[in-house]
Amino acid sequence: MWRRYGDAIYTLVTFAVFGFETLALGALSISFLLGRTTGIASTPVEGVLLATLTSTASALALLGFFLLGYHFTSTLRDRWHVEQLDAWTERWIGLALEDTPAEQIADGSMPRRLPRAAVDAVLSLLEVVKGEEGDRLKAVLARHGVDRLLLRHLRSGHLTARLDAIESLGKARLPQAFDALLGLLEHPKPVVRRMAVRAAAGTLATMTPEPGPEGPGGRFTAALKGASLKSGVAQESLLLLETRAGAVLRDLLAEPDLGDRLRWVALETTGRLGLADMAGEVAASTTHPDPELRAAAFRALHRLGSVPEDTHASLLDALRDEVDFVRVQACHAAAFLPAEVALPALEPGLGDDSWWVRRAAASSMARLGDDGVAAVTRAAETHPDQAAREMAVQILLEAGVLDPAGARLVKGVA
Amino acid sequence: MWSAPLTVYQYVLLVYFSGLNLLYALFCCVGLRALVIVFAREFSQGSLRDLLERDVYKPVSILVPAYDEEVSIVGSVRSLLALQFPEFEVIVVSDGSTDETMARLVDAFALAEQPWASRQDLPTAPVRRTFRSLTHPNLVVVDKENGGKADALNAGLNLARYPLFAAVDADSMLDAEAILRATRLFVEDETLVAVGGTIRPLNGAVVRDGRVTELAMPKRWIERFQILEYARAFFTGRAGWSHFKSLLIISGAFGLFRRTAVLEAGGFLVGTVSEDMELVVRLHKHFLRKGQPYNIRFTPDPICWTEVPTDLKTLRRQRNRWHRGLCETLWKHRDMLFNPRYGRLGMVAVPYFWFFEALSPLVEVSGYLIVGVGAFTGFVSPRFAILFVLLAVMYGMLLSQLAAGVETFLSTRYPRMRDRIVLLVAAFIEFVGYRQFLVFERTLATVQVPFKKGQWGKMRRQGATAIATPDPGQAVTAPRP
Repeated sequence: MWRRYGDAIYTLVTFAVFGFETLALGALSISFLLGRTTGIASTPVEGVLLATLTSTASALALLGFFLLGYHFTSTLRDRWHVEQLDAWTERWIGLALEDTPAEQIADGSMPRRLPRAAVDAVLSLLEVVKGEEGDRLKAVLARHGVDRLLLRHLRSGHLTARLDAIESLGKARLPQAFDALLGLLEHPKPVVRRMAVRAAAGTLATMTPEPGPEGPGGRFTAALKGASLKSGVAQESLLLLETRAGAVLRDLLAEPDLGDRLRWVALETTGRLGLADMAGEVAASTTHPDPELRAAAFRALHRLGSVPEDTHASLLDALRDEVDFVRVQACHAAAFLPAEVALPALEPGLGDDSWWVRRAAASSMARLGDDGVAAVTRAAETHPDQAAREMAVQILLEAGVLDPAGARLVKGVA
Repeated sequence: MWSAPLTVYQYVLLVYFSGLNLLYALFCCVGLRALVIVFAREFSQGSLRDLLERDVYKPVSILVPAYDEEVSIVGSVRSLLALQFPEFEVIVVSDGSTDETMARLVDAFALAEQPWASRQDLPTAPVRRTFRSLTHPNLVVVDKENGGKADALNAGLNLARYPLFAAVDADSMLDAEAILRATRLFVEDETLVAVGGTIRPLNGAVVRDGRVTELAMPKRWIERFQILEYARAFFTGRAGWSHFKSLLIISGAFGLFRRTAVLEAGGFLVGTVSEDMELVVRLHKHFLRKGQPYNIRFTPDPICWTEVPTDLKTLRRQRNRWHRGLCETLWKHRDMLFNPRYGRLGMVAVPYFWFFEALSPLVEVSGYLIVGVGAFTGFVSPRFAILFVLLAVMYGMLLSQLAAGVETFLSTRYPRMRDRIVLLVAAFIEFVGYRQFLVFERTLATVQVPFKKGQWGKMRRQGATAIATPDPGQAVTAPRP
């Protein structure tokens, strides 16, 4: 989307322009104020005006030349970079597929310090190449000192260099950078924390698992608990853990003192990852005093597609919860109860005050086999509440049970 | 007798002029640093792919209000349906169209009428019929009685199912990844209630399959000037205000909102020509009064393309409407002006919009008069007058160039060196006639505010893309930059 080179210089140019303007306009205003008593057409004011004009013209010329120069050089550079990338990608693929152990790869023909196109090419490859091939490429990167260079940039005082390094390490997934990335979760700048946690999660996903709090998973969990991250960012990082997510999520949900925000994140992520064997851990939050957490637990159970038997009672209670969004999620989860238990419990939801509860109840009923569809069809025709009848028809339409022409004929809805 | 007041007024003008230019330059600096540099790195292709692959995105309802859009509606809807986003619905609301808008939609997307159990969160003009597409299950079309753009958006909101909604003009075209990039911000910030994207002029562009594939400088100077205006508005103004958490405008052409927040604030206001700005101001007000943390942001990445007016008559009407809309909104929320209860919004942003936007045409006209009359009567030396006008022109050029400079960092930029030189020249010519023409129209609009409340005026359609693909998106009801 954006070209990433030259932007720092351009920022400097804009700051210089801003400086020019501040000084010139400040001087003009002061001289104007001082000249007020003697008339604005007095020579000193005009002199300052002329100086202001000159400095503005210089700023304009500087900017104009920069933009034309940048446009010209960036066009050439873009073309050249694409050619180089293609060439290097081919070379890296060749190395990755070589039939020799990583430490014996013959890369003598490569320059000692890899050019930018070479690093970009291998990082792009590492985003998709994993396993043994990925390890071979990482070994070559390490041999050329790219990992050390990126780690050094990670400590850079320049935000852009630091962000570039985090992004590169996120692509490379180098285990030796894992702890440095975790360290950045305490960085004062939110953007650094956000990018670092994503990069660390991606790296952990490729590391060899080690149990216990001293293992990488344990260190990640501890860093996550201590970091100031928005829920969405924490959730994304947990999703990036891929197969390592289960252990981290289990640790988090087992923690009695876990903050509500992170517990909510853990419940959401468990549901999204479909970790069905964790339904028990999730179910423990269905009676939590915080309605957001109760709703998250039911949403997760719905996504997991199973409701443990010892949670049936709390689920049936939640269908009458005083908070509407809890009722909505409970209705969705009720689709995984036995039909004979769920249908009578869901039916009152069709007449709920909330449109969302009516929709969730009707949709769950329609998923409960032939008996459920029959109950929704019955509701479409005979439910005393028109809103319930309309919702039942809409759900039947969406489920393909009714067609639009048929829907218009349903009694009381047409 | 007049000498003292004139001198004071001249001094006021100079301070006004200096303040405005410095503010713009400052916005350019912070906008560039905060948005472009950080965005370029944080929202890389990899991070967007992660968003999709890990299922972190939030689904979106895209609301498309349409009134007599028979020319462009099918193309616009096709381009929306082709967006790269895993879970979204498109809700087109035909607001009592009198042309073939509905018929074209029915034919193109095999629409079938069906009853709809919609919510009535917001009151609207009666809905006549609701349709669902048999070929695109995520397309819903509502045919309702005319109630205006805001009313159509409210009707769409009543049907929207997803937590986020995007309001998109029927004559605009979104970049394929626009929704994805905008939704990423909502994942990262749960206090975010609205995001505005960048709008860029489509004129002269090559469009294929509802996507902009190449940019070229349009032929008419009036279109070129607008390219600079849009760049200035989005890459300096919006970026700067957003950085200071005081963004008051999200363009009606493309904005992404949290549905519950908008419903809480009362939806779109019917009967105004500036429903986009009015909603944003009301959202600020609502959350500030509640004392609830919230955020409203501009992001340069999600790009929406729109065709800008190609003739002076349409441009006049458009700018007149925009300026009246601005004044209407500021007047409606006049209690915010210098009200410390609204923090930096009440003390800085709203006063800025009053004095540097709403009243600026009056100040500028009086400035021209004073310099002219002063030079003529000998109160101001002609040499001084010329130098001062030249300085004003140069500052304007400088700001245009700073903004157009940001555009060179975009991967989709005007590729030819010739186009870049034309933009440089346009920045100069803009100040000879074009600017004064717009100032006159805005001055007129300021006077007309009490008499033309809520009147949109007719917009003419031209079609100005370089290659006429099946659906080039031809409307010229371009959104406010």
